[in-house]
Amino acid sequence: MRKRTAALLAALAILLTGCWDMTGIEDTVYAASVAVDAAGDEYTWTFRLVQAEKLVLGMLAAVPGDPGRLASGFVSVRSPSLEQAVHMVQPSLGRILSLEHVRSVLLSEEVARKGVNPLLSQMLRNTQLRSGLSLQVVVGEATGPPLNSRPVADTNAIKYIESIRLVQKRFHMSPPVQLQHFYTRLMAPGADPIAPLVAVNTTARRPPGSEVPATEGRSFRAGELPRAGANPVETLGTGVFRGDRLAGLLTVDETQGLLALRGEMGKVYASVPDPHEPGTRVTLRFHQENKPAFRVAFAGGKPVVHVKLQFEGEVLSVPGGTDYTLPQNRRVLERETSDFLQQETFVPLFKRVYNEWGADPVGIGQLFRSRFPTLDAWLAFAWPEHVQDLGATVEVDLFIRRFGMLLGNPKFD
Amino acid sequence: MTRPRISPRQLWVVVLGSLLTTAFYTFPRAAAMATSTAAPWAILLSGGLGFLLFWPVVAKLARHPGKNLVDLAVIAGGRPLAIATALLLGGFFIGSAGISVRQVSEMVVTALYPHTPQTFAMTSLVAVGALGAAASPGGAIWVGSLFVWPMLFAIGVVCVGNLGWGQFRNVIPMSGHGLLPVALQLLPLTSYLDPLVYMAVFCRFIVTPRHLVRQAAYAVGIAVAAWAAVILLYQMVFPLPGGLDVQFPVFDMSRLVQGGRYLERIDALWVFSWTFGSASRLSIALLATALLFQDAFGLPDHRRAVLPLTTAILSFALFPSNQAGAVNFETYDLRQWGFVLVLGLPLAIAVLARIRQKKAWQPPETGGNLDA
Amino acid sequence: MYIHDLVPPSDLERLVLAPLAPGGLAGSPNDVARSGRFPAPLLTVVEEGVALRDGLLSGLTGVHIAGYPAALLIGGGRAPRLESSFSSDTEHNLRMLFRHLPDPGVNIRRVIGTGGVSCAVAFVESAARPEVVQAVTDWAGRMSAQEPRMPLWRAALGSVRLPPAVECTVPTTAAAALQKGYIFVAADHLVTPLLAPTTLELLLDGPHDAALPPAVRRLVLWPRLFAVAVGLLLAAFLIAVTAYHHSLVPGPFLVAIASSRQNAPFPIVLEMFIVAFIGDAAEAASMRIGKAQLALVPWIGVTLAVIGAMQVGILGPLTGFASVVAVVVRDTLPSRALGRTVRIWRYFFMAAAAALGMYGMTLLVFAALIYLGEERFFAHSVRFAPDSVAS
Repeated sequence: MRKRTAALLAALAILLTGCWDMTGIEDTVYAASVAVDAAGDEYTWTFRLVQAEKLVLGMLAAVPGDPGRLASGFVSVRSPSLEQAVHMVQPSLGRILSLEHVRSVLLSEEVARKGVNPLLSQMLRNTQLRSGLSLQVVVGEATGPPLNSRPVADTNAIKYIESIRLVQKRFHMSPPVQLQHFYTRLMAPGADPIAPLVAVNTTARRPPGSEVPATEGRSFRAGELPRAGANPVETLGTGVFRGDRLAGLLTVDETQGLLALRGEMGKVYASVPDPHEPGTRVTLRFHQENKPAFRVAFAGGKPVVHVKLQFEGEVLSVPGGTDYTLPQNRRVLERETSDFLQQETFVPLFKRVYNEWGADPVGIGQLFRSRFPTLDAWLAFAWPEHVQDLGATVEVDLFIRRFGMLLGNPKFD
Repeated sequence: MTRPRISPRQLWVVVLGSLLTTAFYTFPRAAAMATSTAAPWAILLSGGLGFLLFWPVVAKLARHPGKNLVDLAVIAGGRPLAIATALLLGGFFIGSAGISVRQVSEMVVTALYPHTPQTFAMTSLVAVGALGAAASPGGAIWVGSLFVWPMLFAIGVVCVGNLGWGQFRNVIPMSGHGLLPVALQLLPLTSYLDPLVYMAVFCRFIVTPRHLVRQAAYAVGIAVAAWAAVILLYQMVFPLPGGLDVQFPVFDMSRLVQGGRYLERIDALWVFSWTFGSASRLSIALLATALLFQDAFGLPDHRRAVLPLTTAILSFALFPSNQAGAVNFETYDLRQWGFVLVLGLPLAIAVLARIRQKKAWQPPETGGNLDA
Repeated sequence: MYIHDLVPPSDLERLVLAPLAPGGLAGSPNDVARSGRFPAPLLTVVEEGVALRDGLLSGLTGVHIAGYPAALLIGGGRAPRLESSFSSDTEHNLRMLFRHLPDPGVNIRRVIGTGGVSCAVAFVESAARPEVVQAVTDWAGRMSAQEPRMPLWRAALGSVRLPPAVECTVPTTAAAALQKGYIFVAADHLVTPLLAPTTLELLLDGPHDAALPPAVRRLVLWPRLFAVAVGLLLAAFLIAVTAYHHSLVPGPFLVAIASSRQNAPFPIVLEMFIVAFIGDAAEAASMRIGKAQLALVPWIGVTLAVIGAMQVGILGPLTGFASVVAVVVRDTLPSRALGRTVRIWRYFFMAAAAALGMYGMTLLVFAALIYLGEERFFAHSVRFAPDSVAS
């Protein structure tokens, strides 16, 4: 019994000499996001630090919160690495800076075009950063969105950043990409990564109700939406990478086409020309009925792919007045819209992204893997060198199933 | 005092828990490196192969209650063979336990407490593990049998938390992709079945070991299925070739699991269950080695061997100069040829004992109590 | 049915059976009761054997009039209602035990403890192991009504170990336990009788588990284990999370905690210890109240919970939450001995969590399990029931 007691006490004594890493919550300041800009051979790191005492919490708030501003402060520092940046910020802070709750990393377009490999490896090696954080590409300077962000309904910076991903998943206007996904796509021999675009919309700085440019049927990227008021920062569109370098930017329609090719489209809204009333556009809600079906082959030594996409649609708005519930009209709409999507969205998308930029964001290269007997033979083929030779044919099938809450198209005289 | 008695279920649960925790730190990456094409299939096949290699040993012991591997070795080759068995097997257990301790302490210090001295993390873990081994065999085995459930639960939650439907295309199937390389690399994978040898050592405490073969099959079957699931999941979450760069494979997978409104990034909870597993596996490995030494060298009590063996474990843990060295040592040195010791040696002993079996079993020369 | 089947032989001489001639009490027992010759509160008519047995065991006098199926109980007010639980009277406890365990193999040994304390040790001969019985009997013989004087530190250290015997308040539990090989110990100075040796099964058994089917009993075990784990580890977990593993707390919640703690006077670790200590001190004080105020005990628990809820607003969400949950969990544990042990052990876990976070908690949990695997009371291991094959 004595020996047992002594043994247990000894075990306890070992435990009681610990406490090396204890840090209280009140002694820590949490970074919610990190923005990275290029600065010669180094980077400029901008940290958004959460100011907990400015959050409104019922009776307990020390200082009342300011609606429309996230309760956070900013600090920028120039250094070659993230850890060094943290150490350079520390002397000016009265608390321990923690990166454990960083929810997004914003890379400027310049940094993305130079190549993200050096950044990625240090972010993945870091023990505090989590691989589930959002990775975003900023059109312009990376500090623009954090410094100009004026959300309508949030004061908690961490919650605000999380809610951006919620909107991305619901509306599919930009892809919700995490660091983990970016890394695995980057390392995969037959695929390339993508990232959502963020930008500051200068038009949106105007007060609500001000005049804004016409849409003219264009598709927009982040920073281009014709709107006034509310948060000037918007997340819209996609940055496509070739390897670790940014190859090009996609608008929202192209983004949704890309997501459809990846099988991640969900439900999107689009306006297509009305086949019976030229000059007007029919608004449809598209839903991807099945995952895309790919057939890959080599033709004359070059890779070719045929992809079949199936959508189902819901007619939401017909300003022209045609009754598309009638079967003959509906079939025309289905056929014309399918052709429109094929010719105006998917074929140009393949040409631009694959043949011009040489990027493979869909991961078609993975499908060619089965053509090789071993992994080593597949790696030796070096798919990235053959991407620009890819020949693609697209087949689109649309089935219009729903028409909203009205049958027919009533005319009011 | 009477010899401690344990149930067959306790024993196979101990073996299962040890099998699971043995492979938790480097197995996904090591297996991926070993086969690089069809790791889940290789694991399933290696489990079957390992069981076939070990089955004659447990089958022989199952027919003779109260006997263990050392008794078989005495039959097969006399006292010198028994001593050699204890030294070789014990050396392997000590080595793999030492590397396991090193891995856990590296994970703790790298991922959770960067300012904590690593020797502190290592010695604290070894201290509690030694405490378990110094307990009576019955008590140590009871404690060891408790941790299979948290291990299975931890595997389950990691699988559920990281499952991405539609990512199966990241995992390369066997057919048409390196069937020969897969077949050639099965044998080293069987070295991960070394906890099976615990059955051959602890079976002395079972009242009727009639079902020993069945218990071994359960342990191997469940462990191999769990390993295959984890490898499959790992290749989905970290596809090759990028998956080979990850320091702590399953720990990194746990860092991706989002818990929800009340908990998130549950990696610290995984340290909880993995440290459990490591401490219990360490104490069971130490206990098995101590019992081997006790039987082979005729010591009156297994506890006399615990302190020197603990020192040996700490030395092995400090042997590699860095974490990468520890991983490479385990993958390319220890595990590449470990199957010769953990499966080949007991098989050879069982075969020799069958050839040389005398009409009546001679009682072992050790006279002491196992549970003083 | 014979009276011998209802009452143990040792108690027969204490009963009075008065067979009266038909002339003394004319008519059926109902007629006698309604005749008005005896004050109504003194007479009760019973028509069932169980009621007659209960009445006789509670000390009333039974009268059977030949030729009539019913009987009269004389001396009580209403139909006697025996207490369904044990008390501090040894003989009463033994009677309760026999009532629920009419096993002819039940043996009783009377032992005189230190200072003249009278103890009774009961066991089922076919189930209990002889060495355990002897050890328990020796231990009962060393029992004393006065607690031995010892330094506070030694008393504190001693309370870290599990007690050698567990309190038992319900006779059905005692009866079921005896059939499994446990030993029943009753003494006048004990508030309730004890069951020895302490095992994990006994600690986790609830008062009315004997009535449950075996499959349900096994199922019910898991929530209880969870309650034990929560009571033991919750405060330590919260300390570990707030001191070492901030990444575990969801971001918005973390910022809310940080916001509420801006002006906190103490570090959160110290607050947890203070709150735990205050709760335990209040509960220890409640143990000292007399029997008459025992009915207040549940209300004290409620009061503590309310105070804990108020602490949520004053000290912050975490410490208040921890204290409320700890009080609730402790009070719902099935065994008081387990509740006391959990209450003491959790301080060690809190210290381990404060020293090394989750890693420290893990190491100490492992050490605690080693202790549970090794502790033996009366030559029997804590981890197995006495009738288990393993040992």
